[in-house]
Amino acid sequence: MKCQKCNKNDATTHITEVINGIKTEMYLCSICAGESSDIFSFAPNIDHEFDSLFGSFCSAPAISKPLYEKSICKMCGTSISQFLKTGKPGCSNCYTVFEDLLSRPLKQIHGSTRHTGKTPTKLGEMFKTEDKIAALRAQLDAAVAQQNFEEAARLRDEIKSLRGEHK
Amino acid sequence: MSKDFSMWYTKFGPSGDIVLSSRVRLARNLSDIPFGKHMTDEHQKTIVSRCREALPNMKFIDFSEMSSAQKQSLSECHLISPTMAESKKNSGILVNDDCSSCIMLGEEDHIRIQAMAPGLNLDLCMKEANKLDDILEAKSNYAFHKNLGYLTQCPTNLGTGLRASVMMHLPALTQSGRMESIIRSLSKLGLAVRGFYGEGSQALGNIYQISNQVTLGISEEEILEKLGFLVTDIIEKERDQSRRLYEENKIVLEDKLMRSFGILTNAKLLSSLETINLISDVRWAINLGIITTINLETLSAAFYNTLPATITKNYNLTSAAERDLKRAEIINSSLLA
Repeated sequence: MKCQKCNKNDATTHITEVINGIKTEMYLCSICAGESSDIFSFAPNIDHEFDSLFGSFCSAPAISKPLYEKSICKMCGTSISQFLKTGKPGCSNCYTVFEDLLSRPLKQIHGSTRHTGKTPTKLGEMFKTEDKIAALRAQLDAAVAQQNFEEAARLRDEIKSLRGEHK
Repeated sequence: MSKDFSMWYTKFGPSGDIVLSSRVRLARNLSDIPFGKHMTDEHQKTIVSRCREALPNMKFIDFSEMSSAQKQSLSECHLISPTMAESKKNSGILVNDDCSSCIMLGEEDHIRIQAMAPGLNLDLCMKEANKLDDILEAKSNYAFHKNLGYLTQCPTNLGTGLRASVMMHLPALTQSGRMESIIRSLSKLGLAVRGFYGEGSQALGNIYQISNQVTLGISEEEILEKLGFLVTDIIEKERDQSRRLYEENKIVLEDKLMRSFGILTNAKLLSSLETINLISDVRWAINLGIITTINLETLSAAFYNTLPATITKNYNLTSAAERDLKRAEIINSSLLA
Protein backbone atom coordinates (compact mmCIF):
# COMPACT_ATOMS: atom_id res chain seq x y z
CA MET A 1 0.00 0.00 0.00
CA LYS A 2 1.27 3.50 -0.89
CA CYS A 3 1.35 6.39 1.60
CA GLN A 4 -1.93 8.32 1.43
CA LYS A 5 -0.19 11.64 1.85
CA CYS A 6 2.70 11.61 -0.63
CA ASN A 7 1.56 8.64 -2.75
CA LYS A 8 5.22 7.75 -3.29
CA ASN A 9 6.63 5.57 -0.51
CA ASP A 10 5.18 2.45 1.06
CA ALA A 11 2.83 3.04 3.96
CA THR A 12 4.29 1.79 7.23
CA THR A 13 2.30 3.73 9.86
CA HIS A 14 -1.39 3.55 10.63
CA ILE A 15 -2.95 6.71 12.12
CA THR A 16 -6.49 6.86 13.45
CA GLU A 17 -8.20 10.17 14.18
CA VAL A 18 -11.55 10.65 15.85
CA ILE A 19 -12.92 14.12 15.22
CA ASN A 20 -16.39 14.92 16.54
CA GLY A 21 -17.14 11.21 16.66
CA ILE A 22 -16.09 10.61 13.06
CA LYS A 23 -13.25 8.16 12.72
CA THR A 24 -10.74 8.54 9.91
CA GLU A 25 -7.85 6.22 9.23
CA MET A 26 -4.66 7.07 7.39
CA TYR A 27 -1.83 4.91 6.17
CA LEU A 28 1.37 6.92 5.91
CA CYS A 29 5.01 6.31 5.07
CA SER A 30 7.57 6.85 7.81
CA ILE A 31 8.57 10.28 6.44
CA CYS A 32 5.03 11.69 6.32
CA ALA A 33 4.21 10.11 9.66
CA GLY A 34 7.33 11.73 11.09
CA GLU A 35 6.16 15.11 9.87
CA SER A 36 2.60 14.78 11.02
CA SER A 37 2.65 15.11 14.75
CA ASP A 38 0.76 12.58 16.82
CA ILE A 39 -0.37 15.29 19.21
CA PHE A 40 -2.19 17.35 16.65
CA SER A 41 -4.40 14.53 15.53
CA PHE A 42 -6.14 15.27 18.82
CA ALA A 43 -6.71 18.93 18.01
CA PRO A 44 -9.23 19.20 15.18
CA ASN A 45 -9.88 22.57 13.63
CA ILE A 46 -13.45 23.67 14.24
CA ASP A 47 -13.31 26.68 11.94
CA HIS A 48 -15.16 25.13 9.02
CA GLU A 49 -18.17 24.33 11.10
CA PHE A 50 -18.16 27.78 12.59
CA ASP A 51 -18.24 29.43 9.16
CA SER A 52 -21.48 27.85 8.08
CA LEU A 53 -23.11 28.20 11.49
CA PHE A 54 -22.30 31.87 11.72
CA GLY A 55 -23.50 32.43 8.16
CA SER A 56 -26.89 30.92 8.88
CA PHE A 57 -27.06 33.08 11.96
CA CYS A 58 -26.53 36.25 9.93
CA SER A 59 -29.09 35.30 7.31
CA ALA A 60 -31.81 34.95 9.92
CA PRO A 61 -33.24 38.49 9.70
CA ALA A 62 -35.39 39.15 6.64
CA ILE A 63 -33.53 41.16 4.05
CA SER A 64 -35.42 43.19 1.47
CA LYS A 65 -34.56 42.56 -2.15
CA PRO A 66 -33.18 45.99 -3.11
CA LEU A 67 -30.75 45.88 -0.18
CA TYR A 68 -29.80 42.35 -1.09
CA GLU A 69 -28.84 43.37 -4.58
CA LYS A 70 -27.01 46.54 -3.69
CA SER A 71 -24.83 45.29 -0.90
CA ILE A 72 -21.43 44.53 -2.33
CA CYS A 73 -18.26 45.56 -0.57
CA LYS A 74 -16.44 47.97 -2.88
CA MET A 75 -13.05 47.22 -1.39
CA CYS A 76 -12.93 43.42 -1.79
CA GLY A 77 -16.02 42.65 -3.91
CA THR A 78 -17.68 40.38 -1.33
CA SER A 79 -21.40 40.22 -2.04
CA ILE A 80 -24.07 39.88 0.58
CA SER A 81 -24.79 36.29 -0.47
CA GLN A 82 -21.13 35.35 -0.14
CA PHE A 83 -21.03 36.98 3.26
CA LEU A 84 -24.12 35.11 4.41
CA LYS A 85 -22.73 31.82 3.18
CA THR A 86 -19.44 32.01 5.04
CA GLY A 87 -20.19 34.45 7.85
CA LYS A 88 -16.75 35.87 7.23
CA PRO A 89 -16.01 39.32 5.86
CA GLY A 90 -13.60 39.64 2.92
CA CYS A 91 -11.98 42.75 4.35
CA SER A 92 -12.35 45.30 7.13
CA ASN A 93 -14.68 47.45 4.99
CA CYS A 94 -17.20 44.57 4.86
CA TYR A 95 -17.97 45.27 8.50
CA THR A 96 -19.24 48.73 7.57
CA VAL A 97 -21.18 47.45 4.54
CA PHE A 98 -22.80 44.52 6.38
CA GLU A 99 -22.95 46.05 9.86
CA ASP A 100 -26.75 45.78 10.10
CA LEU A 101 -26.66 42.04 9.46
CA LEU A 102 -24.19 41.49 12.25
CA SER A 103 -26.02 43.00 15.18
CA ARG A 104 -28.09 39.92 15.93
CA PRO A 105 -25.32 37.32 15.85
CA LEU A 106 -22.96 39.66 17.70
CA LYS A 107 -25.48 40.12 20.46
CA GLN A 108 -25.78 36.35 20.73
CA ILE A 109 -22.03 35.75 20.78
CA HIS A 110 -20.81 38.71 22.81
CA GLY A 111 -23.98 40.01 24.44
CA SER A 112 -23.12 43.40 22.98
CA THR A 113 -22.62 45.25 19.71
CA ARG A 114 -20.50 48.08 21.05
CA HIS A 115 -16.77 48.09 21.75
CA THR A 116 -15.75 49.54 25.12
CA GLY A 117 -12.03 48.72 25.29
CA LYS A 118 -8.83 50.16 23.90
CA THR A 119 -8.95 52.55 20.95
CA PRO A 120 -5.96 53.33 18.73
CA THR A 121 -4.60 56.73 19.82
CA LYS A 122 -4.79 58.24 16.34
CA LEU A 123 -8.38 57.17 15.79
CA GLY A 124 -9.38 58.02 19.35
CA GLU A 125 -8.76 61.73 18.61
CA MET A 126 -10.75 61.49 15.40
CA PHE A 127 -13.70 59.85 17.15
CA LYS A 128 -13.73 62.56 19.81
CA THR A 129 -13.88 65.23 17.09
CA GLU A 130 -16.64 63.32 15.29
CA ASP A 131 -18.71 63.13 18.46
CA LYS A 132 -18.20 66.84 19.07
CA ILE A 133 -19.27 67.67 15.49
CA ALA A 134 -22.39 65.52 15.84
CA ALA A 135 -23.35 67.36 19.04
CA LEU A 136 -22.77 70.77 17.42
CA ARG A 137 -24.84 69.68 14.42
CA ALA A 138 -27.80 68.95 16.66
CA GLN A 139 -27.42 72.39 18.29
CA LEU A 140 -27.20 73.96 14.81
CA ASP A 141 -30.45 72.29 13.72
CA ALA A 142 -32.15 73.50 16.87
CA ALA A 143 -30.86 77.07 16.36
CA VAL A 144 -32.12 77.11 12.74
CA ALA A 145 -35.51 75.79 13.85
CA GLN A 146 -35.71 78.63 16.39
CA GLN A 147 -34.57 81.10 13.70
CA ASN A 148 -31.60 82.03 15.87
CA PHE A 149 -29.38 82.70 12.87
CA GLU A 150 -26.62 84.42 14.79
CA GLU A 151 -26.10 81.34 16.94
CA ALA A 152 -26.47 79.09 13.86
CA ALA A 153 -23.68 80.96 12.07
CA ARG A 154 -21.41 80.64 15.10
CA LEU A 155 -22.06 76.90 15.32
CA ARG A 156 -21.48 76.47 11.58
CA ASP A 157 -18.10 78.15 11.87
CA GLU A 158 -17.17 75.99 14.82
CA ILE A 159 -18.06 72.81 12.92
CA LYS A 160 -16.08 74.03 9.94
CA SER A 161 -13.00 74.69 12.00
CA LEU A 162 -13.21 71.28 13.71
CA ARG A 163 -13.48 69.60 10.31
CA GLY A 164 -10.53 71.60 9.04
CA GLU A 165 -8.43 70.57 12.00
CA HIS A 166 -8.99 67.01 11.16
CA LYS A 167 -8.07 67.13 7.48
CA MET B 1 16.18 26.15 18.26
CA SER B 2 13.03 25.10 20.03
CA LYS B 3 15.12 23.99 22.97
CA ASP B 4 15.62 27.70 23.57
CA PHE B 5 11.99 28.46 22.73
CA SER B 6 10.76 26.19 25.46
CA MET B 7 13.05 27.81 28.03
CA TRP B 8 10.64 30.44 29.33
CA TYR B 9 7.97 27.82 29.33
CA THR B 10 9.72 25.43 31.64
CA LYS B 11 10.25 28.14 34.27
CA PHE B 12 8.27 28.18 37.47
CA GLY B 13 5.95 31.19 37.79
CA PRO B 14 3.33 32.45 40.28
CA SER B 15 1.02 29.56 41.35
CA GLY B 16 3.33 27.39 39.25
CA ASP B 17 2.20 24.23 41.04
CA ILE B 18 -1.10 24.46 39.13
CA VAL B 19 -0.66 27.09 36.40
CA LEU B 20 1.80 26.21 33.67
CA SER B 21 1.56 29.47 31.75
CA SER B 22 -0.44 32.59 30.93
CA ARG B 23 -0.91 34.15 27.55
CA VAL B 24 -2.47 37.24 26.02
CA ARG B 25 -3.22 37.46 22.32
CA LEU B 26 -4.31 40.58 20.44
CA ALA B 27 -5.80 40.20 16.96
CA ARG B 28 -5.10 43.16 14.68
CA ASN B 29 -5.57 43.84 10.97
CA LEU B 30 -4.37 46.48 8.55
CA SER B 31 -7.14 48.61 7.07
CA ASP B 32 -5.89 48.56 3.46
CA ILE B 33 -5.33 44.80 3.16
CA PRO B 34 -8.17 42.31 2.65
CA PHE B 35 -8.74 39.15 4.72
CA GLY B 36 -8.33 35.42 4.07
CA LYS B 37 -8.75 34.24 0.53
CA HIS B 38 -8.68 37.79 -0.84
CA MET B 39 -5.13 38.17 0.41
CA THR B 40 -2.42 37.79 -2.24
CA ASP B 41 1.26 36.92 -1.82
CA GLU B 42 1.98 40.62 -2.28
CA HIS B 43 -0.33 41.47 0.59
CA GLN B 44 1.44 38.88 2.75
CA LYS B 45 4.78 40.45 1.93
CA THR B 46 3.44 43.92 2.74
CA ILE B 47 2.26 42.79 6.18
CA VAL B 48 5.62 41.18 6.91
CA SER B 49 7.68 44.15 5.71
CA ARG B 50 5.60 46.77 7.56
CA CYS B 51 5.81 44.87 10.84
CA ARG B 52 9.51 44.13 10.48
CA GLU B 53 10.15 47.80 9.83
CA ALA B 54 8.13 48.84 12.86
CA LEU B 55 9.88 46.34 15.16
CA PRO B 56 13.50 46.10 14.00
CA ASN B 57 14.66 44.64 17.33
CA MET B 58 12.57 41.51 16.99
CA LYS B 59 13.89 38.49 15.15
CA PHE B 60 12.02 37.44 12.01
CA ILE B 61 11.50 33.74 11.31
CA ASP B 62 10.53 33.10 7.71
CA PHE B 63 8.12 30.18 7.32
CA SER B 64 8.84 29.65 3.66
CA GLU B 65 12.26 28.34 4.68
CA MET B 66 11.02 25.92 7.34
CA SER B 67 10.09 22.25 7.26
CA SER B 68 6.74 21.08 8.48
CA ALA B 69 8.36 19.53 11.59
CA GLN B 70 10.12 22.80 12.40
CA LYS B 71 6.83 24.70 12.20
CA GLN B 72 4.98 22.12 14.27
CA SER B 73 7.72 22.30 16.84
CA LEU B 74 7.01 26.03 17.22
CA SER B 75 3.38 25.16 17.73
CA GLU B 76 4.26 22.59 20.39
CA CYS B 77 6.13 25.32 22.26
CA HIS B 78 3.02 27.51 21.90
CA LEU B 79 4.74 30.12 19.80
CA ILE B 80 2.30 29.69 16.93
CA SER B 81 -1.14 28.14 16.53
CA PRO B 82 -1.54 24.63 15.05
CA THR B 83 -3.43 26.24 12.14
CA MET B 84 -0.44 28.43 11.37
CA ALA B 85 1.90 25.43 11.55
CA GLU B 86 -0.12 23.74 8.81
CA SER B 87 -0.49 26.84 6.68
CA LYS B 88 1.25 26.85 3.31
CA LYS B 89 1.27 30.64 3.11
CA ASN B 90 4.43 32.72 2.97
CA SER B 91 4.07 33.95 6.47
CA GLY B 92 6.38 34.21 9.41
CA ILE B 93 6.74 35.35 12.98
CA LEU B 94 8.57 38.04 14.90
CA VAL B 95 9.96 36.96 18.25
CA ASN B 96 11.84 38.67 21.07
CA ASP B 97 15.02 37.35 22.67
CA ASP B 98 13.52 34.78 25.04
CA CYS B 99 10.57 34.09 22.71
CA SER B 100 8.04 35.11 25.37
CA SER B 101 6.63 37.61 22.87
CA CYS B 102 5.74 36.50 19.40
CA ILE B 103 3.87 38.18 16.58
CA MET B 104 2.25 35.87 14.06
CA LEU B 105 2.04 37.52 10.65
CA GLY B 106 -0.50 36.67 8.00
CA GLU B 107 -2.30 34.03 10.02
CA GLU B 108 -6.09 34.19 10.31
CA ASP B 109 -5.61 37.85 11.16
CA HIS B 110 -2.87 39.95 9.58
CA ILE B 111 -1.21 40.49 12.95
CA ARG B 112 -1.55 38.44 16.11
CA ILE B 113 0.46 39.77 18.99
CA GLN B 114 1.14 37.22 21.72
CA ALA B 115 2.83 37.64 25.06
CA MET B 116 3.40 34.69 27.36
CA ALA B 117 4.68 34.15 30.88
CA PRO B 118 5.22 31.18 33.17
CA GLY B 119 2.62 30.67 35.91
CA LEU B 120 -0.36 32.97 36.49
CA ASN B 121 0.76 36.38 35.26
CA LEU B 122 -1.84 37.85 32.94
CA ASP B 123 -0.99 41.46 33.81
CA LEU B 124 2.60 41.06 32.69
CA CYS B 125 1.42 39.44 29.44
CA MET B 126 -1.04 42.28 28.80
CA LYS B 127 1.62 44.89 29.47
CA GLU B 128 4.03 43.29 27.01
CA ALA B 129 1.35 42.79 24.34
CA ASN B 130 0.18 46.41 24.72
CA LYS B 131 3.73 47.67 24.29
CA LEU B 132 4.08 45.89 20.94
CA ASP B 133 0.55 46.91 19.94
CA ASP B 134 1.28 50.60 20.55
CA ILE B 135 4.46 50.47 18.48
CA LEU B 136 2.71 48.75 15.57
CA GLU B 137 -0.29 51.06 15.81
CA ALA B 138 1.87 54.18 15.63
CA LYS B 139 3.48 52.95 12.41
CA SER B 140 0.46 51.49 10.60
CA ASN B 141 -3.24 51.94 10.07
CA TYR B 142 -5.22 49.36 11.98
CA ALA B 143 -8.69 48.30 10.84
CA PHE B 144 -10.86 49.75 13.58
CA HIS B 145 -14.58 50.50 13.72
CA LYS B 146 -16.07 52.92 16.21
CA ASN B 147 -18.77 50.48 17.35
CA LEU B 148 -17.16 47.13 16.61
CA GLY B 149 -13.65 47.92 17.83
CA TYR B 150 -10.66 46.14 16.29
CA LEU B 151 -11.88 44.44 13.14
CA THR B 152 -10.91 40.80 12.89
CA GLN B 153 -11.37 38.16 10.25
CA CYS B 154 -13.65 36.18 12.55
CA PRO B 155 -16.54 38.06 14.20
CA THR B 156 -15.95 36.10 17.43
CA ASN B 157 -12.79 38.18 18.00
CA LEU B 158 -14.26 41.63 17.31
CA GLY B 159 -13.95 44.39 19.88
CA THR B 160 -10.79 44.08 21.91
CA GLY B 161 -9.42 41.25 19.74
CA LEU B 162 -8.12 39.96 23.07
CA ARG B 163 -7.88 36.32 24.00
CA ALA B 164 -6.38 35.81 27.42
CA SER B 165 -5.70 32.25 28.44
CA VAL B 166 -4.25 30.28 31.28
CA MET B 167 -2.91 26.73 31.03
CA MET B 168 -3.72 24.72 34.15
CA HIS B 169 -2.81 21.25 35.37
CA LEU B 170 -5.82 19.85 37.24
CA PRO B 171 -5.32 16.16 38.04
CA ALA B 172 -7.24 16.04 41.35
CA LEU B 173 -10.33 17.80 40.01
CA THR B 174 -10.25 15.57 36.92
CA GLN B 175 -9.83 12.37 38.90
CA SER B 176 -12.67 13.20 41.22
CA GLY B 177 -14.99 13.88 38.27
CA ARG B 178 -15.49 17.55 39.11
CA MET B 179 -14.15 18.99 35.85
CA GLU B 180 -17.33 18.46 33.88
CA SER B 181 -19.38 20.63 36.17
CA ILE B 182 -16.58 23.21 36.43
CA ILE B 183 -16.38 23.40 32.64
CA ARG B 184 -20.15 23.84 32.44
CA SER B 185 -20.10 26.62 35.03
CA LEU B 186 -17.19 28.42 33.38
CA SER B 187 -18.94 28.28 30.05
CA LYS B 188 -21.99 29.96 31.58
CA LEU B 189 -19.67 32.68 32.87
CA GLY B 190 -18.32 33.31 29.38
CA LEU B 191 -15.08 31.37 29.64
CA ALA B 192 -14.01 28.56 27.32
CA VAL B 193 -12.20 25.46 28.51
CA ARG B 194 -10.14 23.47 26.06
CA GLY B 195 -7.79 20.57 26.31
CA PHE B 196 -4.05 20.62 25.81
CA TYR B 197 -3.04 22.30 22.56
CA GLY B 198 -6.02 24.32 21.53
CA GLU B 199 -9.50 24.05 20.28
CA GLY B 200 -11.56 20.92 20.37
CA SER B 201 -8.83 18.74 21.76
CA GLN B 202 -9.18 16.40 24.70
CA ALA B 203 -7.66 17.38 28.00
CA LEU B 204 -4.47 15.41 27.52
CA GLY B 205 -2.44 15.00 30.67
CA ASN B 206 -5.09 16.77 32.79
CA ILE B 207 -4.02 20.07 31.23
CA TYR B 208 -6.76 22.58 30.51
CA GLN B 209 -6.60 25.90 28.76
CA ILE B 210 -9.07 28.41 30.17
CA SER B 211 -9.78 31.55 28.17
CA ASN B 212 -12.29 34.33 27.66
CA GLN B 213 -14.93 33.88 24.95
CA VAL B 214 -16.39 37.36 24.81
CA THR B 215 -14.32 40.12 23.24
CA LEU B 216 -16.90 42.81 22.41
CA GLY B 217 -18.62 45.10 24.90
CA ILE B 218 -16.12 44.34 27.66
CA SER B 219 -12.84 46.14 28.31
CA GLU B 220 -9.41 44.51 28.41
CA GLU B 221 -9.15 45.11 32.17
CA GLU B 222 -12.54 43.50 32.80
CA ILE B 223 -11.61 40.43 30.73
CA LEU B 224 -8.37 39.91 32.66
CA GLU B 225 -9.97 40.57 36.02
CA LYS B 226 -12.73 38.04 35.44
CA LEU B 227 -10.38 35.35 34.11
CA GLY B 228 -7.85 35.93 36.90
CA PHE B 229 -10.53 35.77 39.55
CA LEU B 230 -12.01 32.48 38.30
CA VAL B 231 -8.60 30.91 37.74
CA THR B 232 -7.58 31.76 41.30
CA ASP B 233 -10.72 30.06 42.51
CA ILE B 234 -9.95 26.91 40.48
CA ILE B 235 -6.37 26.87 41.82
CA GLU B 236 -7.76 26.75 45.38
CA LYS B 237 -10.25 24.04 44.43
CA GLU B 238 -7.49 21.90 42.89
CA ARG B 239 -5.17 22.31 45.89
CA ASP B 240 -8.01 21.41 48.28
CA GLN B 241 -9.10 18.40 46.29
CA SER B 242 -5.54 17.19 45.91
CA ARG B 243 -4.95 17.43 49.68
CA ARG B 244 -8.20 15.62 50.41
CA LEU B 245 -7.53 12.79 47.93
CA TYR B 246 -4.07 12.30 49.39
CA GLU B 247 -5.31 12.25 52.98
CA GLU B 248 -8.08 9.79 52.16
CA ASN B 249 -6.04 7.35 50.06
CA LYS B 250 -2.40 8.03 50.84
CA ILE B 251 -0.92 4.67 49.86
CA VAL B 252 -3.20 4.12 46.86
CA LEU B 253 -2.37 7.53 45.39
CA GLU B 254 1.36 7.19 46.15
CA ASP B 255 1.33 3.78 44.47
CA LYS B 256 -0.38 5.11 41.34
CA LEU B 257 1.91 8.13 40.98
CA MET B 258 5.13 6.24 41.77
CA ARG B 259 4.23 3.58 39.21
CA SER B 260 4.09 6.32 36.58
CA PHE B 261 7.48 7.59 37.77
CA GLY B 262 8.74 4.01 37.52
CA ILE B 263 7.60 3.72 33.92
CA LEU B 264 9.06 7.09 32.90
CA THR B 265 12.43 6.26 34.43
CA ASN B 266 12.64 2.69 33.10
CA ALA B 267 10.59 2.25 29.93
CA LYS B 268 12.47 1.72 26.69
CA LEU B 269 9.69 3.05 24.42
CA LEU B 270 7.41 5.94 25.29
CA SER B 271 4.70 7.32 23.00
CA SER B 272 3.81 11.00 23.30
CA LEU B 273 0.30 10.28 24.52
CA GLU B 274 1.49 7.89 27.21
CA THR B 275 4.20 10.36 28.24
CA ILE B 276 1.76 13.26 28.67
CA ASN B 277 -0.37 11.23 31.04
CA LEU B 278 2.56 9.81 33.01
CA ILE B 279 4.19 13.23 33.33
CA SER B 280 0.92 14.53 34.72
CA ASP B 281 1.18 11.93 37.51
CA VAL B 282 4.79 12.84 38.25
CA ARG B 283 3.90 16.54 38.32
CA TRP B 284 1.22 15.78 40.85
CA ALA B 285 3.62 13.65 42.90
CA ILE B 286 6.18 16.49 43.00
CA ASN B 287 3.46 18.91 44.20
CA LEU B 288 2.42 16.50 46.94
CA GLY B 289 6.03 16.07 48.04
CA ILE B 290 6.01 12.37 47.16
CA ILE B 291 8.87 12.83 44.69
CA THR B 292 11.64 15.15 45.83
CA THR B 293 14.56 14.14 43.61
CA ILE B 294 13.50 16.31 40.66
CA ASN B 295 11.72 19.67 40.35
CA LEU B 296 8.90 20.87 38.09
CA GLU B 297 11.26 22.79 35.81
CA THR B 298 13.28 19.65 35.00
CA LEU B 299 10.07 17.77 34.35
CA SER B 300 8.70 20.49 32.05
CA ALA B 301 11.96 20.65 30.09
CA ALA B 302 11.89 16.87 29.55
CA PHE B 303 8.28 17.10 28.45
CA TYR B 304 8.67 19.96 25.94
CA ASN B 305 11.87 18.57 24.47
CA THR B 306 10.24 15.24 23.69
CA LEU B 307 7.04 16.43 22.02
CA PRO B 308 6.65 14.77 18.61
CA ALA B 309 7.67 17.51 16.18
CA THR B 310 10.34 18.94 18.49
CA ILE B 311 12.06 15.57 18.96
CA THR B 312 11.72 14.81 15.24
CA LYS B 313 13.42 18.07 14.36
CA ASN B 314 16.09 18.07 17.07
CA TYR B 315 17.27 14.51 16.43
CA ASN B 316 16.45 14.22 12.75
CA LEU B 317 14.14 11.25 13.29
CA THR B 318 11.83 9.84 10.68
CA SER B 319 9.44 7.39 12.30
CA ALA B 320 7.18 7.20 15.33
CA ALA B 321 9.15 4.16 16.54
CA GLU B 322 12.40 6.14 16.50
CA ARG B 323 10.70 8.96 18.38
CA ASP B 324 9.38 6.64 21.07
CA LEU B 325 12.84 5.17 21.60
CA LYS B 326 14.57 8.57 21.76
CA ARG B 327 11.83 9.99 23.99
CA ALA B 328 12.25 7.18 26.51
CA GLU B 329 16.02 7.67 26.50
CA ILE B 330 15.76 11.45 27.18
CA ILE B 331 13.08 11.08 29.84
CA ASN B 332 14.84 8.19 31.62
CA SER B 333 18.01 10.22 32.00
CA SER B 334 16.47 13.60 32.89
CA LEU B 335 14.17 12.16 35.55
CA LEU B 336 16.92 10.13 37.18
CA ALA B 337 19.36 13.04 37.23
